[in-house]
Amino acid sequence: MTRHAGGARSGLTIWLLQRASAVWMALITPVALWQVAGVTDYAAWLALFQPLYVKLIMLLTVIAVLVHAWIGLREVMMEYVQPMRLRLPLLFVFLAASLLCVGWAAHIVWVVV
Amino acid sequence: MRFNIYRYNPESDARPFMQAYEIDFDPQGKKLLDALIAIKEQDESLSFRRSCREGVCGSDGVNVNGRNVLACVTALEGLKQPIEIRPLPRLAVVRDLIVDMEQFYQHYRAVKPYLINLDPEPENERLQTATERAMLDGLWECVLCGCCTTACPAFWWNPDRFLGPAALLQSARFLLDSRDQATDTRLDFLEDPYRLFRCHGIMSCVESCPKGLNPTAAIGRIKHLLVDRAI
Repeated sequence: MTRHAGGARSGLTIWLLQRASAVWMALITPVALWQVAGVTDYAAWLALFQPLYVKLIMLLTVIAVLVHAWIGLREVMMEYVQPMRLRLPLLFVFLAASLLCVGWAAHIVWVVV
Repeated sequence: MRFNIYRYNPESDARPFMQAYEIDFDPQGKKLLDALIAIKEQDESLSFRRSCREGVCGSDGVNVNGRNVLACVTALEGLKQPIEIRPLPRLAVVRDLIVDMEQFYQHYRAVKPYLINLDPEPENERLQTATERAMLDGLWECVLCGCCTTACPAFWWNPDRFLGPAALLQSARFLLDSRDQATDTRLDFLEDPYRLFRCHGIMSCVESCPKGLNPTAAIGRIKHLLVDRAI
């Protein structure tokens, strides 16, 4: 089957991203909780974040949370914030805040710990 | 029996109001529509739609004690009194319990609810295997009463852009028909942020369907087709 041009085709991609981020969070959360449960002091906490793959997984998880949250907020606003002049700035503010959070998380994972 | 019925005549009433009725009526074995007809005998200004009185025509959808139902298949017994009867939510009221279904039908027409097949017409009929036919069960039974769509909050917020569960169920009915050839254009039409994807799967439609159908599952099957096509 082929796809034809035309229309705003963002529905499926955004819905899939929401599903994918949900699956990622569902898989990671129990593992993270189980790992953190064994941590008793700050040294162990630091050691936990030393391997590169842990840093990458953490960053990916932060991105999944923010993508999921942004899509959720977009869904809420498509229903409750009908005036476009209000909805669009709000979506941009949330997007900017999300990007800042990603940068902040990267900083924490690579520089702080 | 005691009733509280939504009344509104745009020609004479400034605003809608609830009118109380009390009738001497034995509810045993009777349906809500029987009571409405008895009330209309007492007050013939009360307006409501009804036709087949057995859950096939789908014209007497009303909101009873907060739930969308077909009056003709809803048992009177067990309903909490006074029974509150209102028109289906979100649609414009023409008069009393009669709503303007135009928006609903517009969405229905938009999904092209007919078989699109460009092959030469066969001598007799287009055949299906039993399995192909079984794909349509749970989809063809819809009577278009509007109970599901008007119970859907996604439709309440975006009634002009979200197609609503009834139209999407009909879309699925033709998407999944082995004889239909327009799958691609049908999916193109639905792949939009509003028409299909306003559905959050809260299953209000399933809860309110008087025919026991599952529009949420039908919408899930459409999403499946969309994902299959995209990936």
